Amino acid sequence: MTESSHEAVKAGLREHLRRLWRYGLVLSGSRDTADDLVQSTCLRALERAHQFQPGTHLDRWLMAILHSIWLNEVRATRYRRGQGLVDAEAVLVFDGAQAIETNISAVQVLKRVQSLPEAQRETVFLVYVEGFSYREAAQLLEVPIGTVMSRLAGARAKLAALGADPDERRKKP
Amino acid sequence: MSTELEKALPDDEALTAYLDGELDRDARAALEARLAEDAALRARLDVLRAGRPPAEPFDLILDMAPIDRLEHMLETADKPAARGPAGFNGLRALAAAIVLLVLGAVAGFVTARSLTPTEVAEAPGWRAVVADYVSLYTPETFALAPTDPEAYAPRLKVVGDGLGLPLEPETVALPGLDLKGAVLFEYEGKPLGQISYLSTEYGPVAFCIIANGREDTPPAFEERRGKNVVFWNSDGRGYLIIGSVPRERLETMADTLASRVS
Repeated sequence: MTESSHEAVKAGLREHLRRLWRYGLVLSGSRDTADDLVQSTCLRALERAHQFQPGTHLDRWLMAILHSIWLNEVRATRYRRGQGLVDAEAVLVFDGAQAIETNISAVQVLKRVQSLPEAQRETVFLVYVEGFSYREAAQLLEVPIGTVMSRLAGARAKLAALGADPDERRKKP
Repeated sequence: MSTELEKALPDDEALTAYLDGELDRDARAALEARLAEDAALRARLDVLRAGRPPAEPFDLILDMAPIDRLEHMLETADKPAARGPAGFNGLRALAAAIVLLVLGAVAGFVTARSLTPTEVAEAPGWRAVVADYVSLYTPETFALAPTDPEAYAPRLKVVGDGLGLPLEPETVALPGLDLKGAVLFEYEGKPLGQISYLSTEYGPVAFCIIANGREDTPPAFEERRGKNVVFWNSDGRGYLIIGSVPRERLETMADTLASRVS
């Protein structure tokens, strides 16, 4: 690898550490796994720095690496260990945020999104939080654009129903 | 894109793509023409519009990221020894040692130093972790925290629910100290609650409870990170109070809390 691509990727990693960790947390619902995902992403991205195409979005390249590590290496292990993919820890994390921010409605948004099935949750996160276009999300997720659309439509329908449901609290874990 | 959308998509998907500005001009015009005619479709559009989550709450997660630890990971990953085909599983032990959970939340300031894996495995691990991050508190840490103890009632309920204890502002009140926070963490899979105080005399003080299922032990004293600690175990829960408070005074506080919280 050339030093310049290595340095560019390292600088990009440093700039986007928080966003990568957030993506890892949204995917896994676990702080520890989010840490692990960021660490693996750092290693993998530095190893493959020569593959990065200058002029393309470095943040998206890094997120694609994190996504692939999650999908191919981590997620299956968690299933094997019998851990749910949306574990209670995420709720604790968000309660921590609540205690700090005193922002109950914000925390409610996080919990609702976290309650979506993983595929919908990840797509919602990429498009509505990270600002991916449908096409960009489809590329990262390696699914057809129609799948992105149907996940978003399903997620919107569920989130709208949750938002309109005064008894939402009964669904708490 | 347009060819996909000109097919008879289920309406929810077309409406969603419309709301997201992902329809091309023709598809958009066709849908708008239908919307003008169809009140039910307009109502469905409103439902789906309300279902888009705002992005701002996710900024809270950015703030929670343990940035010092992540930067340390990046530096470690960049060392030549770490390069090469490092597998995810091989990293877990290292990550577990570095990570030690918890405090990402409060400011992302737990450093990689923390504890060795041996320490973690031993019973007092949680006290060391608490002492580590409490040692970073200053009075300014709580500069913007509400001053009315009642403001903490909902947070205490969250913490209490997590620990299976009824916690209210009066239960945890300590004379001469202002209540400054109540947060629920997790340590090695066990709920860990922390109630923070500020004393004009002694600075930050923290009262922590962990549902660790251990046997009862009477109050004992130790020093960690230059702070005094009184800790005990009762009814399957570990307790500690920590601060730069003289030992005798701290023991009195511990007595007060032990008599009320159980």
